[in-house]
Amino acid sequence: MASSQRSSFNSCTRRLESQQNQTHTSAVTSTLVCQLSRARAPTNSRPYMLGAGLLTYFLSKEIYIINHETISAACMATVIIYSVKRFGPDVAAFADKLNEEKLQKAEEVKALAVASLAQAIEDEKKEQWRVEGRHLLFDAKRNNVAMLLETNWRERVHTVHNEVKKRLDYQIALQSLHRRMEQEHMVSWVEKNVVSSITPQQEKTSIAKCITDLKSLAKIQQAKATV
Amino acid sequence: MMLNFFDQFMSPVLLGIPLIALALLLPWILFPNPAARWINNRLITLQGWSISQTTHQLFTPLNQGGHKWATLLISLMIFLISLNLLGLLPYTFTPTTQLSLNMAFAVPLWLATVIVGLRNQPTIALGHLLPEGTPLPLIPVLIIIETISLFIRPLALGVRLTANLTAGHLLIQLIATAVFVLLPLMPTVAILTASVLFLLTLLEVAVAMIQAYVFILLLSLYLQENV
Repeated sequence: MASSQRSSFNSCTRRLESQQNQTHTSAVTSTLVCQLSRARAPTNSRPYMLGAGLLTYFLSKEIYIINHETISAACMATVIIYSVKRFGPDVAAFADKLNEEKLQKAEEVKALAVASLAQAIEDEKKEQWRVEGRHLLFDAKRNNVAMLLETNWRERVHTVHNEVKKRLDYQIALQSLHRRMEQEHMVSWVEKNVVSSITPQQEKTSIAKCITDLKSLAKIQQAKATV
Repeated sequence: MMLNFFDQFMSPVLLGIPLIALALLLPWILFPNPAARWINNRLITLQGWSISQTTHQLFTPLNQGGHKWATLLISLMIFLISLNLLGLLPYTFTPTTQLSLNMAFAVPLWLATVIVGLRNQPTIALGHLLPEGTPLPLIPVLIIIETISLFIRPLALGVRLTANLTAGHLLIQLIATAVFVLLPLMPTVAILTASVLFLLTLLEVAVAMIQAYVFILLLSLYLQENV
């Protein structure tokens, strides 16, 4: 027993790496706790043995006397232990929730910033893609402008053509008018001269001739009618 | 040596050193200081949350001038709650069972509210002595009654706290003694009495917190009238 105790003591005085970095480890208590917690039995009974021994000692030597305070202490202990066991996890979860909400607010800000930046990247990529397709746009615009120019030119040519045609038509009409007027004038002059050159003798002879012609025609017609 | 139930309320002195100073300083170490971290551990988070909730609850009805009293009143409330709750543990001394202490809290604070009211808005402060809508013949009597009630306030504040805590402690002691005495004689009755003691302990825990809150609530109400 003594050798096992001594070996556990020796192994407990060797400091662990983690313990060396701690600032609040007392050599005495850490050794004691290490020694007490090195399990030899399935459940670690050393602290309980110490507790039971101390309690028995205090009670038997009447260092601690059981009185009414003990009973009120027992009541108070029941209340405390019950409330801790019952409400402990809920309170801890609530405290964690408060911290989580705080973290989440900051995360939201960060997520929003990240999202807006990602959106900016997407927009930039789209703009770059648009820039690549810019030449298509320019070709279309160029074609459009060329078409407009062509249309405009053709319209003007058409206008010019019409104007020229109008002028030429005017000239033609003028000429034809001229000719017609000359012709009419000539005809009327000729008629006038002819009419004025008809002497009364000629007029009589022509009228007599007409009458004889008419009579002959009438005879012919009569003959045709009777036949 | 006779069992004197009032021994628990005697201010403890050890070798001439008043231990009430220790009892008054002890609650301070139970409340951790917030560390210079953004997310704290659960205890500090809960402490901060509960203090901010209580402050919000108490000081929303007050105007800007009343908010200057927030530090004083909330720290006083934390102090009283911790003193009351620690006093429920066995073999502890509750400083708030001493009338001198409670009057030392009540009288200066009440007097401060009255003086603040009379200095800044004397008409309104004096106007509180007459409730609205009183019939004309009752006015002189009512003013006297209201003045008496005004001067009774500090007395009521102090004595309320003292009486509640003293009565609670005494009851716990008496019923615990009853259980202790009955345990060898009539165990069943002792068990019934122990259940009464359990309920009483629950009540005392509630009373401890409520009385401290009521103290501060009434002071904030007196402040609300005068600021």
